[in-house]
Amino acid sequence: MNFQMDTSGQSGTITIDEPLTIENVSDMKTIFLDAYKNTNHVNIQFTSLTDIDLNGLQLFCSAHRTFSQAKKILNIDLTNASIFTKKAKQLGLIRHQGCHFEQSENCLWRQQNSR
Amino acid sequence: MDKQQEAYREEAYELLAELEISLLELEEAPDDEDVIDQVFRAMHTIKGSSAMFGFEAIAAFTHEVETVFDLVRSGHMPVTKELVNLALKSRDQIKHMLNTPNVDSSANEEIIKQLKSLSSDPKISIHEADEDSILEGDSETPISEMDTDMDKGTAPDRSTENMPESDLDLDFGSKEDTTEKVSTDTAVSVTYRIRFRPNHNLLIQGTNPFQLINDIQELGDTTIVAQTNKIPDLFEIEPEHCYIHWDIILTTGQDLDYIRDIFIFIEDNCDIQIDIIDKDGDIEYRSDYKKLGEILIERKDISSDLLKQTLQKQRRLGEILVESQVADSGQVESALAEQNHIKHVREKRKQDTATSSIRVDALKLDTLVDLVGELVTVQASLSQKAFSSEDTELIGIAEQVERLTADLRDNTMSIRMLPISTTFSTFKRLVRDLSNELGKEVAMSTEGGKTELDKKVIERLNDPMVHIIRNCIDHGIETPDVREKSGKSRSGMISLIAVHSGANVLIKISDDGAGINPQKILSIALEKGIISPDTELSETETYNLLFAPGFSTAKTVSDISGRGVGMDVVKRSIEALRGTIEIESEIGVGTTITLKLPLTLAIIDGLLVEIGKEYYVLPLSAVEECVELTQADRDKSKGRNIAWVRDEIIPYIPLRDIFQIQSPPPPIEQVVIVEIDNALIGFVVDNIIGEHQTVIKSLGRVYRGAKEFSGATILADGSVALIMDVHRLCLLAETLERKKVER
Repeated sequence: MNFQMDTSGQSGTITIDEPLTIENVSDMKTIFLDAYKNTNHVNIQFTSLTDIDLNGLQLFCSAHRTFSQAKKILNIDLTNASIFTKKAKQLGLIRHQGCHFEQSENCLWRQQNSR
Repeated sequence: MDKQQEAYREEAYELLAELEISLLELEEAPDDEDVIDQVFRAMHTIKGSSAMFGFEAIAAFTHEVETVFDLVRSGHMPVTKELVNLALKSRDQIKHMLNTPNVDSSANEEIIKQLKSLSSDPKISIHEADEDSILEGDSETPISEMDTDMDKGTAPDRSTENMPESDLDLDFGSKEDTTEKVSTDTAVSVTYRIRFRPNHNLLIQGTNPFQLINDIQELGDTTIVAQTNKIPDLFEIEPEHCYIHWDIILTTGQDLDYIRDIFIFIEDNCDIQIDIIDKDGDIEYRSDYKKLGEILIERKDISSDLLKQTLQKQRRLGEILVESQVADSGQVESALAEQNHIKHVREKRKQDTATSSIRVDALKLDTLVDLVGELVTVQASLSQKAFSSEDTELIGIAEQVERLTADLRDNTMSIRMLPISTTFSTFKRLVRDLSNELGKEVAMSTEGGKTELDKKVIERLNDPMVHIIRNCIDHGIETPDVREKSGKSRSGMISLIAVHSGANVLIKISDDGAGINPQKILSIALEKGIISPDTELSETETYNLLFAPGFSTAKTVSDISGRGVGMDVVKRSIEALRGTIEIESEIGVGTTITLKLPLTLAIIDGLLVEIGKEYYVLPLSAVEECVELTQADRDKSKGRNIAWVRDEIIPYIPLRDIFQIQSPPPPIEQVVIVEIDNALIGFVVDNIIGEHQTVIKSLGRVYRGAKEFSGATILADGSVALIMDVHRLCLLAETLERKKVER
C-alpha cells in the first residue's frame, strides 16, 4: 500500500495490495493525506482487494468527500476490487442520490459511480 | 407415508423442477446473481425440508451441493459448464433418492467426489471452515450447523432487494428451523423501522456490523440505508471509529423482542429505536404508503410548519428538502426507501391475497369434473322436461339451472387448465442433454407458455412431444460443421410455440435443420412396400408416410430415435387426444410439426346426429359444414360415394353401411363434412339433431374393441350416444373399401 507521484508530476497513484480493515486504516489515512497534500489528482488502483470492512469503506467516503470539497479528483478504479461494491451494498451504502457534502453526481455511493 | 411426508415429496418435486429451470438459466447467464440466488434457495429449502421430514440422506447430499453454490454466491467460485452439469446430475440424484428411499449411496459419493474436485481447484479461494465441510464430505454435520456465517468469508450476498427466505412458499429449511426460532411464514407480517445509531467505539469493541445486518436480513425482507452524513473529513476522521448509522426497514413475522435480541450485546452503548410502521392484518390495504413529508414529520426529522413552507415552492419535495437543508439527503433517501419498501410489501400482500391458492388432490378434481358432467346431463333432462311441460314457472327455473350449470362447468373446467409452460420447461433439459450427447449445438426457445390446456391433455402430450423433439435433434439439426458449411449459424434452434385456435390449441415444434427430403421418404416407402411404384402423392401425403407403422428414414438405429416405431405411435397418441398432427418442411430450411389439440377431454362441443334409431356425436371442432344428400345426388355420382359441393367432389362414408343398419334410409340424408389431415371427408347420417354439450364417458369393457368410438355421452332423455372417432372411422372405411375391391 503506497502513494507515488506519476512521472508527469500532475497526478499520483495510490496502489492498494492488501485488505483494508480496522488493522490498517490508520496507515491508509496517512497515505490519503500524503496524496492530498502532494497533488490535485489521485488515482487509486487495487492490485487485489480480498477484504474491506466498515472502517475501510468509511475512510474512502471521507477521503472522497474531502477531495471533492477541495475540487480535487480522487479517481477510484474498482477493477480487481469487486468486493468493495459488494460490501458497500451489504451495508446499505449504495444510493440514488449523493449527500450534500459533495456534488450529488460525484458521490462515491451513487449507483452509477460504484459499479 | 404420512400426509406431511407426502406433502414434502410433492413440494420437493416442484422445487426440483424449479431448480432444473434455474440451472439451465444459469448456464446461459452465469453471472446473473438472481439466478444464482434462485438455485441456492431451492437447494437450501430442499435440504431444510428433507431434514425436517426425516430424509437425512437427501439433506446431507443436498448440503454438499448447496455448499458449493454458497461459494458461487459469495463470488469465490465461477459458474462453469462442469458445475452446471454436476448440479443437474445432483438434482437428478436427489429426485432418484426421493423416488427410491433406500438408494445405493455410491452414486452420491461419486457426485460429491466430483464436486469436491471442482471446488478444491487451487484457483478457487475457499475459507478454511467451508473447505473442511466440502473436502471432508462431512455428511454427519447436523443440519443446524450446516449454514455458513456471513463473517466467515462465505457470506451470502443478499442484496436488499432479494426475496427473503420467509417469503418463499416453502421454507422448512431456514437456519431457524433447528433452533427455537420459527418460520415466519405462518406469523403475521409486521414492518418495523429500526434506527440504529452505534457508539463510536462499536468497531473497536469488535462488533461486526455485517453480522448484525445479516442477522436482521435473516428475519425477513429488509431495506437498509446507511447514513454517512456524520463521517468527518480526512483531517478529522478517527478511522477506527464508527460514524455511520443505519435506517433499516424490516418486514418479518418475528416479534419486537426477537429483533431486540439481535442487539442484546450492544444495546447499552447504542441508540436503537424500533417502531412498527405497517402490519399485516390491518384492514387498511392501501398499496400507497404515507407521503414523504408525513414520514419525516413522524420521525421528528422536520416540523410540519417547515414542510408546509417548503411545499409552497412546488418542486420535488426530496430535492427541495435537501437544497433547503431542512433534511439531509441521507434522511430523504432513507424515507424514500421506507416508502418504497412499504409500497412493495403492501402490493405483494395484495397480490398474495388475490392469488392465494390451496393444494388439492388431482383425484378430487377429477371427481368434481365427473360430478359436473353428471349435473350437465341431469340439467339437460330437466330442461327437456320443463320445455315439454309448457309450465312457464318450471321453464324459468330450468333456464336458471341451465345458466348456473354452464357457469359451474366453465369454472370447473378452468380449474383443471394448466399452462403449457409446465411441459415446455422440461424439454429444455432434454434439448441440452441430447445435443451434448450428439455433439450438436442446439438452443431452444418457447413462446405462448401461458396457453392453457386441460391437465389430462398436458400429461398425455409429454411422450409424443419428447419423441418429436428427439427427432428434431437427431435427424433435423445438423452438426455445427455441416451447418457452418451451409452458411447457417453453428447452433441450431428448436422453437416451441403454443397458440389458441378456437376450441383448440396449436403447438408448433420447429427446427431450423436440414428439412425432410420428400424423395427420400418416397423411396423408403417404396422399398418397404408402404406404397406401390405408381402411387402419386401430394407433398402433405408424402410427409404423412412418416406416420406409417415401421417407417424410418434413419440409416442406423440409435437410442435417441430411428427405430421406426415412433412417429406412428406419436400420431396415434395425438389422435387419441382428439388432436391432429401435420408436417411442413423445406429442404435446408427446417421442419415444423403442428399439433392441434382440444382444450379439454372432459366436455366437448359435439354435433348430435341420428343413424337408424341410434344417436351419435361428432366432435364439432372437426365439422366444416353439412349438406343434404338426395337420391338425385346419388344418381349423379353413379354409385360412387362422392358428393358434389359447390362443384367440388367430396368423398363420403355411408355410416349406415359401416354400422350395418338394415332399415331403409330416409329419402333425404345428411352429409356431415369433416376435415381430416387437410382433406374433406363426408359422413352420411340420417338426421342432424344439433349442437350438444357432450360430457365424455369412457366406454366399458364390452366396447373395448370398438376403436372407432372414443367414448359415449348421456343424452337429456337418458339414452346413450356414442362419440365417433372420425380418424378411426376413416381408416375402417378405407380397409373395408380395399377388401371390397380385392373381392
